[in-house]
Amino acid sequence: MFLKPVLKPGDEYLWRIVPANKTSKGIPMKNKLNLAILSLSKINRQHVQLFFVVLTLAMLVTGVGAPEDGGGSTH
Amino acid sequence: MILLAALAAGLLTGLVWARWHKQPYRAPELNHLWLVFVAFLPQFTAFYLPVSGQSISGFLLPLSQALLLAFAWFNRRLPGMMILLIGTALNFTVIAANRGFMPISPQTAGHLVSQTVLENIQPGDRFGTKDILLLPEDTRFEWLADRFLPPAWSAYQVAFSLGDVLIAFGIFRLLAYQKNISLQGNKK
Repeated sequence: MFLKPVLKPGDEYLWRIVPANKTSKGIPMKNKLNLAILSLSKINRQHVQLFFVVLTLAMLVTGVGAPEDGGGSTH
Repeated sequence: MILLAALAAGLLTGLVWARWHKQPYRAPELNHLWLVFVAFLPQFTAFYLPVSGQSISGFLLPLSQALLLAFAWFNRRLPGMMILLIGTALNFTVIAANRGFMPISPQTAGHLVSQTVLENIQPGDRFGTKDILLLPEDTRFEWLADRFLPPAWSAYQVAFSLGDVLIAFGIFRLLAYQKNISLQGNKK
């Protein structure tokens, strides 16, 4: 009579038979989460940096330029 | 408004250019960012807070522009910044030489506001935010003043100076240029 092994959530059985550095399935969930957080934080930092650069340049051109539109009136 | 449009156009061009070559967009690496925020304070006080008279505003605008000129000088090695620096210097020159405001002639101002409004403004009075209404013969460096207009068929009418044109080109170049991508599209 055969006894079939039953895998339950949380079992680390798969990680033992599949090398972690061979396939994506081999990366533990914790590391995946860390990678996701790392990439997200990197994107956010770049976006924040770009936002401040654009804000600074907008203030610069607003400050140094003096085009006059007569209060926005057109005719 | 036209300068902010040039900024937006430069940013959009840079983003599309970088995406086209599958490279991340790299914002220009500016130094002394704090100087811009400090330099903007006098203008904010002069033009957006009703606490200062014309004489104080006429002092604060050149002061602010001098600080912004210094910022452009510190970052002059960036692509496009030298064009922006020259434009800023031209605007600073004409503003400092004309009581601290950008001069505009009654003829040019007549394209921006109605004749009724213009009749209530005397030569020497403020016109708009940064301008002062001056007769051409009373204007120093008249060729640097707000004297250019878009084509007559344009719905949006705005007067701008030679310095403004250079600033628009400079800011476009600064944001559109991606130093890691050559003109052939290969990464250096």
